[in-house]
Amino acid sequence: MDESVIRADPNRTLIPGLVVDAVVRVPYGAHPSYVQGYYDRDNEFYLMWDVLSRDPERVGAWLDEWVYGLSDHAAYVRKLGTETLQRLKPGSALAPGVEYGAYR
Amino acid sequence: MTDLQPSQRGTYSPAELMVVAAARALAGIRTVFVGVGQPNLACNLARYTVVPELELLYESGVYGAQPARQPLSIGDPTLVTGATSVVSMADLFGLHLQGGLVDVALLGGAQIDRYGNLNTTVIGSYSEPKVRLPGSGGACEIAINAGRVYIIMQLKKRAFVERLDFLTSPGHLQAGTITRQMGIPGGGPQLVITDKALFDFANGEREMQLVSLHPGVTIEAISAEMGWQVRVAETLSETAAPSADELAIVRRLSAGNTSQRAGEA
Repeated sequence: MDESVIRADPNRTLIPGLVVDAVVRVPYGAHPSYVQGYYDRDNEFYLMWDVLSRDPERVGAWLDEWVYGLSDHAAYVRKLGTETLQRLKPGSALAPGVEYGAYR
Repeated sequence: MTDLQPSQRGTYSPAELMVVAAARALAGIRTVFVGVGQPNLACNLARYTVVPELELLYESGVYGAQPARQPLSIGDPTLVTGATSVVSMADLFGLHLQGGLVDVALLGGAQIDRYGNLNTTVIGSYSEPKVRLPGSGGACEIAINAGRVYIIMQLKKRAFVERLDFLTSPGHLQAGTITRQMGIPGGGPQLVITDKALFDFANGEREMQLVSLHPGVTIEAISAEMGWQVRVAETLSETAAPSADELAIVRRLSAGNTSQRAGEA
């Protein structure tokens, strides 16, 4: 991303560059949590996990299938499948642009 | 939590009356600290009935929430859509809650004692728990700093106990004005809303006292579910049954809710 994009909207920078070593693009990196505006919280996953996590054997099996058995996060997202990703797609709620004023 | 389906005998369930009673108690309130589950239903019902201007605050740092669906967790983005502000939890707890800006907080717990002290931490001993619960979370801070605390719990003998297994959130501690002497700023528990009756603490000892029985419930039925000798207020009333409007809104709000659990997922 171009630096000018950041500088155009500094009030929305929650983590200043000073404390960042790298920025890596990971689509659906927060799943089963959400990223506002991009995908929803996967509540079905949390409900499933609530039941599954009571049994250590099932947790082990889940980890083998969904974590250790996959090459990377992109494979995890592919395994989630388009139906899940479609279900998590939010509607649009675009905020209008902001006039910050240029104080030269 | 309680099943919200209407009972076979009546036109509304005890859990629905519980939500309705909690909503009515929010009349005249400006800001309320909301939890997921029944407190969430109650606050949103209040917004549609007794207090449209009620400002809903959620622990995740959301102000003026108008959730379009029932949140399963305080970390649900539906709380953010259309809200007035989203701040850090540090600001919410440190500046606004401790600053005395929260009028009412709705809390629940696994155990409560006669002074409204709550346990949301552990059943059994702390070192060898029978059940480890998700508390405290923000509950202790909220209990101490909110102007008033309303408690929503099912009346059950295993929950209304003589002695807590663990004190997570102080109510009126060992009675009277001890919390004031200790410098606790909030007003503490004022109301306990259950599926069978309402209790307040309006006596010198700040002891939980029965003030209102839900329709069809007897004092004997109350006593049977309490771990101590229940104190009865001088004036005992009967809780009004939910109106058709209240019921319709509760059911609309509950619809599409994927879980009635009080815990955070």
